[in-house]
Amino acid sequence: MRWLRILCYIALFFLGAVHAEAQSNLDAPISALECKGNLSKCLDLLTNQTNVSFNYKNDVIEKSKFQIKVQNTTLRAVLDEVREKCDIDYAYSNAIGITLVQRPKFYVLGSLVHATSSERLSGVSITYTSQRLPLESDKNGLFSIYTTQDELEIIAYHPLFQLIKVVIKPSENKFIYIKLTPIVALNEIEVNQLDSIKLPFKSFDELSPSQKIVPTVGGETDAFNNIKLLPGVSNVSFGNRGLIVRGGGPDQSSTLIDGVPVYKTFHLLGLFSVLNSSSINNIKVHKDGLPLKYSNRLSSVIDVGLNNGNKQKTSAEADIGILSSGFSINGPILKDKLSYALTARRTYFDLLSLPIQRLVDRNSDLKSTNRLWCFDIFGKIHFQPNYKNQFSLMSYNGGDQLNFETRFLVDNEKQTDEQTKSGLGWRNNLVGFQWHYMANSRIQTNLEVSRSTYNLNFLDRYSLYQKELELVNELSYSNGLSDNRITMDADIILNKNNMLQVGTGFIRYTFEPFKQNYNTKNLISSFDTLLTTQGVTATESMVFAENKTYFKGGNVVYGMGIRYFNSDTFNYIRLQPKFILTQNINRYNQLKFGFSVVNQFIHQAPNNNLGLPIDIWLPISAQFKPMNVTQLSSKYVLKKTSFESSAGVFNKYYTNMLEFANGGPLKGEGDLTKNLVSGIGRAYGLELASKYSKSDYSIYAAYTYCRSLLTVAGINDNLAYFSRYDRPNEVNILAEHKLNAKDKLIVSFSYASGNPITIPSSRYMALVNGEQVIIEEFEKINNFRLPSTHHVDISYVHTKSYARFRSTLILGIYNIYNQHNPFMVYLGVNKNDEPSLKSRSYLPVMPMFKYTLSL
Amino acid sequence: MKIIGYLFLALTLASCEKELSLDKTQFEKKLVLNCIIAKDSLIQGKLSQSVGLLSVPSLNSLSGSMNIVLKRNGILLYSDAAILDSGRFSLPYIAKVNSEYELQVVFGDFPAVKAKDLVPANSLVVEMDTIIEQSVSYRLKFSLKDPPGSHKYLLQLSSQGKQLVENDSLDTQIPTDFTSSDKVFLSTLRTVILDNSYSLFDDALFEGQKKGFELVIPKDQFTVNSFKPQRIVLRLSCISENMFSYYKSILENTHIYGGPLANGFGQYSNVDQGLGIFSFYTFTQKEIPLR
Repeated sequence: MRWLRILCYIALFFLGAVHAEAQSNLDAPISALECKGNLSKCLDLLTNQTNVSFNYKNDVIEKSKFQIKVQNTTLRAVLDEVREKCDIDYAYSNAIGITLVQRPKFYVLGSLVHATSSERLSGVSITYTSQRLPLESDKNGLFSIYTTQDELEIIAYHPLFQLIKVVIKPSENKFIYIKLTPIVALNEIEVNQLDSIKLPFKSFDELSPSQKIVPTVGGETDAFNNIKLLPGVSNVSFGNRGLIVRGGGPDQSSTLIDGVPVYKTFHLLGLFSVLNSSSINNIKVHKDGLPLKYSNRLSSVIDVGLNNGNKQKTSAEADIGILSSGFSINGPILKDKLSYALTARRTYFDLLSLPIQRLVDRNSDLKSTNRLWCFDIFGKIHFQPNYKNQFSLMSYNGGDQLNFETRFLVDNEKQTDEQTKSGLGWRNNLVGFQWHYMANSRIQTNLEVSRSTYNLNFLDRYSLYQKELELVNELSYSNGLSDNRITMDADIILNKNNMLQVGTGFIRYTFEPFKQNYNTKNLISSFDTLLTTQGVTATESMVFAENKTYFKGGNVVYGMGIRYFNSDTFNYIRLQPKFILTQNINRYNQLKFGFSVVNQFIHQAPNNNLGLPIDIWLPISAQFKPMNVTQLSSKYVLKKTSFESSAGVFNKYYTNMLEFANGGPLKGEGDLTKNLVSGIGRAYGLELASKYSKSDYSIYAAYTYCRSLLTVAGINDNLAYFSRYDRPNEVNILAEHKLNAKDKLIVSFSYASGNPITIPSSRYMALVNGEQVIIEEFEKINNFRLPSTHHVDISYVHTKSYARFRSTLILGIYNIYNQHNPFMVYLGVNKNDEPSLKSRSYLPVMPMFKYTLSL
Repeated sequence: MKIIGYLFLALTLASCEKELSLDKTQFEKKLVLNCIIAKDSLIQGKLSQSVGLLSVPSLNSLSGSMNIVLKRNGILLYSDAAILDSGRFSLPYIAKVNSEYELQVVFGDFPAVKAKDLVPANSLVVEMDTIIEQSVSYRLKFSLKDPPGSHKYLLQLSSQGKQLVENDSLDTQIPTDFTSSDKVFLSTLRTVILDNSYSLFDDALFEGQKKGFELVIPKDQFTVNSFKPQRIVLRLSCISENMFSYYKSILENTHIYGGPLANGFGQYSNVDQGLGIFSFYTFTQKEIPLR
C-alpha cells in the first residue's frame, strides 16, 4: 500500500508539474503582437513568441480571420480574444501545446406573444447573456439570437408588459415562445429594473398604437395622427389630405397594410385616416434607407401591421363618439391555431343631420338632403398550424361619400318633380394573403399576394318630370387604378455577424385615369356621350438583396435593388443602392448615417391649386423618366432610461420631378400628360425630437425645419421655387399626465408654417364672341403662401375596469382657442364690394367625446 | 347624444371667412391686346392693361399716344405714332388673305409687346339646308365643304328680329344659343350642358370632305327676351391656329368645358411680353328666315 501511495504522490507531482507547465504556457508574456489576416498566421506568430505550439484541425481555423494589435499581454488574453472573435475555444493544454477546437454554435429563433391573446408583439426589447448589442422583436414579433453559450438567459422588456426572464438551453431549444403579461398598473419596481437592462436605441419612427392615445377631432384616436407628430412628417395643408414626409408629397409615401398598398389614406378631406387604431398591431415609418422590398416611393414607407386576432378567447370592443362609431371583434376559430379579427367604423354625420334638414324643410316644397359619411371595414384570418407556418388573409374596404340632393315636388296641375343630385365618392379595396414560413432557426421566408384598387366617382344629375315633359341631364366622372402584386423574400442568418434578406416581386398596374360620361334626355334631343382616356397597364418587377453586418458597437446595412418598369411603349431599369451605418458610441449615444437611391414609376398628376379632391394616378411614360431621389441623412440619438432625444439632418436630390408646363391642372381630354414637364428638386432639413417620461407624466416635443424646392424649365423664370410641400417650420408638443391609475390628461400643440399655393397674380379683360370676359393671369406657380396653422387640444382619458369589461372615456376640446386655420383660399368681395382674397377655415373649437367598451 | 351630435355638426359646418393680405404677391403690369380681325377689314383692336388681382380690369382704361410697327410678310408697312382712344386703335391697312402680319406696340412704361398671325386663306362653302320648327325648338341643318388641308373653325349663331323694349319695337340681332349632339364640336359638353351661341371645331375627322351639321335652337330663349325672331344668322369662320388656341383655353378656363377637372390656369396668348390675342379669321355668313 505504501508503495502504491508513493506512486500516487509521484503521479500527482507529475500531473501538477504538467498543469503548472500548461499554466505557465498560457501566462506566457507577449511583449507586442500585431496580426491581421488568417488565424493560422497569427498562431504562427504566437508560437514564435511563446514557443507554444497549437494543435487544430485545418477546417477549424482555415476560414477564420483574426485581427489583433496588443502589447505587454499574455497568451491567455490573446486566446480569449480568439475565442470571442472566432468562436474557437482552447479546450486543452499540455507541455506539447494547446489544442484549439470549434465552439458549438446555436441559432435560436424566438417569438413574442401576448399571454392572453397570443397576438404577436413587435418592438419588444431583448437582452441576453453575453449579448453585444441589444435587439428588439420585428413586426412579426420574432427575434433571432446567435450564441455559443450552453445556457442562455433572455430578458424581454416592453413598457406595457411585465418584465420576463427566460433561461433556455440553446442546444435543446432552437425555437422559443415567450408570453408577455400586460401590466395593469405600472409600479416602481418595473421602472427601477430598467436601469440594469441594456435597451436598444429605439427610433421615434416606430409606433405602437396601444402605447399612444392622442385624441384628435371629435375624440378620434387616429393612428396617422400619431405619425404626424413625428419629426419630418406633416400635413399637405391644414385639414387637407395626405402626408408630407421630408418635403415629399403624398404620392411619394407608400402606406402598406399587412404588405398591401393603400392608395387613399385619408377620409373626409384629411379629418382622419383609414387606419382604425383598434385593428392595428404596429406601425413603422421608414424615412431613411427604405426597405428594398417596398422602396418604390421617394419619401417614405409606412408599414402597418394588423392584429392577427385573439387565439385564446373571443374579445370585443365597441366605441361611440360624436364623429364616428365602430366595433371590433376577434377570437379563436380553432384555439391556438386559427383566429379572426373584424373591425368596422362609420361616421354618422349624415344620420344626425337628416332630422335637422327635415325640420328646416318641413314647410317647404323643396327638400334638401346633404350627406357626408365614410366607413372602414377590416377583416383578417390568421392560421398558425405549427410554429413553422403562419398564413393570413386580410381584406379592407373603405371610402368616403359626399352627396347633395334636392327635390322640389309640387302637386300642381303640371305635377312638377324636380330633382338634383351631386355626389363625390371614393373607395379603397384591399385583399392580401401572406405565408410566413420558418425553414429552421436561421431561415424565414415570406410570400405575399395582394390586390389593391382605388376608384373615385363624381356624379351631377338634374331631372325634371312634369306632365308630358321629362328632362334628365347627367354628368358622371370616374378614375382609378388597380395594383396586383406578388412578392417573395427570405431572411437568412448567414453567421453570427451577417443577416441577409433577399427577395423578388412583381406588380401589375392598371390605370384608368379619366372617364367622363354625359347623358341627357329631353323633348328636344337625347344624347349619351362618353369621353375617356385609354386605360394603361404597366408592370414593375424587382429583385433585391440587403445584408446587415454586425460589428463591435454597431451594424451596417447595405444592399442593392433592381427595379424594372415596363409598359407597351417603354421600359426602364433602375438600380437602387442602400447603405445605413449605425454606430453606438457608448451605451447612451448612437450615430447613424444613411445613403439611398430610390426610383418611383407611378405618380399622382400634380395639381397646384385647390380644386376638387381628385387624385389621378398615372405611370411615368416614354417621355418622362422615372422620378429619382438620392438621399443623404445622419442622425444622433441619445437614450437614457427616462429621456431620449434625437437630432438629424437630411438632404435629398431629386431628378425627373413632374410639373405642369403652365402650372395648370388636368384637362378633360386626350393625353393627360401632354402639359407635363420635368425638372429637378431638392429637399433638406433638420429634425429634432425629445421625450422625457416618468412614471406619471411624459413630454414629447418634435421640431422640423424642412425646405422643398423644384427647378423646372419654363416655370417661374426657370428659377428654383418652393414646391407645394414646403412647410419650413413645424412644431409638435405632446404632454401626458397620469392623474392616477385610471385618469390621464393629454395636451397637444401643433404648429406648422403655411405652404405655397398658386393664385392668380393679375386680371385682364378679354373680348370673347363679342362679350367682355375677365381672365385671371397666373404668372408664377406657388406664388402665395398660406398663413401658418396652429391649434391646442386638451383631452381627458378615463379608464375603468369592471368584472367583465373595461371602459375608456375620452373627453376634450379640439382647437381650444378657436384658431381659424385656413383650409382654402378664394377670390371674393369684401364689405365695400371690392375684390378681396379670402380664406375659409373650418374645424373651429369643438368638443371631443369617445366612449369605448372592451370585453 | 343627439344634442352633442348637433352641436358638433353646427360647429364643424360653421366655417369662417377671413380676408388675407396680398402684400407679398407682386405682378408685372402688362399690355393686353384684343385684336381679332376679319379678312378684308381694317387692322384694329383694343389695347388695355392687366391689373392687380383685387382690381377690376377695363377695356377702355388706356388713352394717349402709342408707337406702332406693323409688318406684312416681314415688310414694314407702318412705323409711327398712333392715337389710342379709350383703348381703341386703328391702322389704315386691310387684312389680306394669306398674309402674315406682325404688330409691335410701345405704350408708356409698359414692356413693348409683339405678336404675329396669319390671315386664313379659305373662303368657305356653306350651304343652308332646312330649318324645321318643332314645339319647343328649331332644328337647323347646314353643310360645310371643307377645303383641303387642316383647318380650325368657329361657329356662331345669332337671330335677327323685333324686340319689345318699353313698348317700342326695335330691330335687333341677338346671340342665339344652340345645342348639338355632334361630337365634332370641341365644346361638345359645353354645348350640351349649357346652350351656347358659339362653338369650336376642327376638320380632323372630315378633312377635305363635305360635312353636314344639325343644330337645335331652343325657343324659350326668345320668350325670355321678348324677342320675335325673323331669321337665323349663321356665321362660320375659318380661324387661325392662334385664335383657336385662345378660344379653346378660355373655354377650358371657364370651368365648363373641362368638367370637374377644369381650373383657371394657363390662358393662351400669342403676345410676346404681353397678354391677349392678335389673330385673324375668314368668315362666311348665311341667313335663313323663320316662318
